Amino acid sequence: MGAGKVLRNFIAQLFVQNLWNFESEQGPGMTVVLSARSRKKAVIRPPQSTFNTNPYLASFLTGVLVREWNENGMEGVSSTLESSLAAQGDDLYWRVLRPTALLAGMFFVVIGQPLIGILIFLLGFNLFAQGERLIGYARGLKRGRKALSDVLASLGRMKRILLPLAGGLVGLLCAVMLFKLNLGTWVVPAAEWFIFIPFLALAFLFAFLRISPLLNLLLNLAILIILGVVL
Amino acid sequence: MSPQLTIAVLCILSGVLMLDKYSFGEFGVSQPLVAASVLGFAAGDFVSGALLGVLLQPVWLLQLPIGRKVPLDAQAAGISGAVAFFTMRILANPAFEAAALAAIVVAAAASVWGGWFDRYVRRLNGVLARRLEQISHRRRLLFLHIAALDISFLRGVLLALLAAGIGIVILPLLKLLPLISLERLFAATLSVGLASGLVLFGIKKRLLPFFVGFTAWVVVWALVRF
Repeated sequence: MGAGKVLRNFIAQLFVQNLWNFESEQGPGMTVVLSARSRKKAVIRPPQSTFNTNPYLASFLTGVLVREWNENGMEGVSSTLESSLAAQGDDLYWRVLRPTALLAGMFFVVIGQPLIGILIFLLGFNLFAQGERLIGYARGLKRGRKALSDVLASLGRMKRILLPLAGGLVGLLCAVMLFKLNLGTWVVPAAEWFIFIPFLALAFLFAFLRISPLLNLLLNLAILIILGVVL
Repeated sequence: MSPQLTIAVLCILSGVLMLDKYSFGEFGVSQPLVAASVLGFAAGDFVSGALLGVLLQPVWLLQLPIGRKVPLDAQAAGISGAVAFFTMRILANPAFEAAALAAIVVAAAASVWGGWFDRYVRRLNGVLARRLEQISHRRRLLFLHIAALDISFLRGVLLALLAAGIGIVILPLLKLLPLISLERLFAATLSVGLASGLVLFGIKKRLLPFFVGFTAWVVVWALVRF
C-alpha cells in the first residue's frame, strides 16, 4: 500500500470524532474516513447507523472494514470489533497512557524544565496514539479481523509496561513535592509537610469513596484560606 | 500589544485549542498542562503558564471520556483557568499565587459549565448529523464537518470570553484573599491528582513501583548533594 493512501487515511482519521453526537456517535466521522477513499467522491456510510470505538483504534477498524466490506454480516463484525477495541483502547489510551504521559510532563515542569515537560507529554502520548492511527489502517487492511487478537494482545502488553511506570511516577512526584515543600532538604520535616500529607490522606479517602475531585479541591482551598486567615 | 488585543488573541487561541477536544486530532494540546502553557506563551509568560498548568492538571487528570460518558470538562477548565489568570495578570499584574488561586476556582466552575456546554454541542451535532443522511456528495459532507469545527471553535472562544469577564470582575476581590504560597497551592491540587491516580492505577499492585519512584528521587537528591 502506498504512502499516499496511508497519509490520506491518517488525515481523515483526525476528524473521526468530529460531529460526535448522542444518536449516531462517531457515525459522521467514520463516514468521512470511508468516503475519503471513494474515487467518485461519493458518500460511503459505515455498516450500521451508530458507530463508536476508541478514536485511535478506528484506523485499524477502517482497514478491516475496507478489506471485508463485500462479505456478509458486516454489521455484526463491525459491532463486535468496535466494542472490543473500545474497551481495550479506552482503558489503555485514556486510563493509562495519557495520565502517565501527563505525570511525566508534570514532573519535569515541577523540577523547573517546563519546555521539556510539555514535549515529553506530547511526544510520549502521540507517539503511541497517533502512531497507532498511522499504522493501524495497513494492519487491518492486510490481515482483516484475524489481526484483532494480535492488536488486543499488544494493547495488553503495553498496559502491563505502563502501569508500573505510572505508579513509579506518582511516587516520584510525591517525593519531589515533599522535597520542594522542605525547601530542598530532607533533614528536618517542614511545617508544609503537615499540610501536604493530610491533604494526600484526604484525597485518598475521596478517591476510595468515589467523591468528585472538585469537592476535594474546593475543600483543600477552603482549608488553605482559613489557615491563611488564622495563622 | 495592547492588553485588550492580547486578551482577544487568547480568546481566539482558546477556540483553536478547543478543536483538539473531539473535533480534530485529539493530540492532547487541550489538556490543562499544555493549554495553559500555550496561552502563557501567547501572553508573553510561558513559565507562569506551565506552572499554572501543573496546578490545574492534577484535578482533571483522570476525567475519562469513555463511551457516551461526558465527564467534567478538563479542557474547558484548563482554558478558562488560564484565560482568567492571564487576563488578571495583564490588567493589574497581581501576585502569581493570588491570581492562580482565583484561576483554580474559575477552572473548577468552568469544568462544570463546560460539561453542560459539551452536551449542548453534541445535541447540535446530532441535528447536523441528521442532515448527513440526505446527502450523496462528498463536498456536502465536508461542509457539515466544517460547520461542526466552527461550533467547536466558537465554544472555545465563548468559554474564554466568559473566563476573561470573570477575571475582570473578580480582580478587585483578590485583595481580600490571604496570600497562599505556591507550595501550598501545589499541595492542594497535586494531592488530588496523585491519590486518585494511584487508586485508578490499582493501589495494591502499584505500591512497589510507588516506593521505587519515591526512593529514586531521594537517592538522586542524596547523590547530587553528597
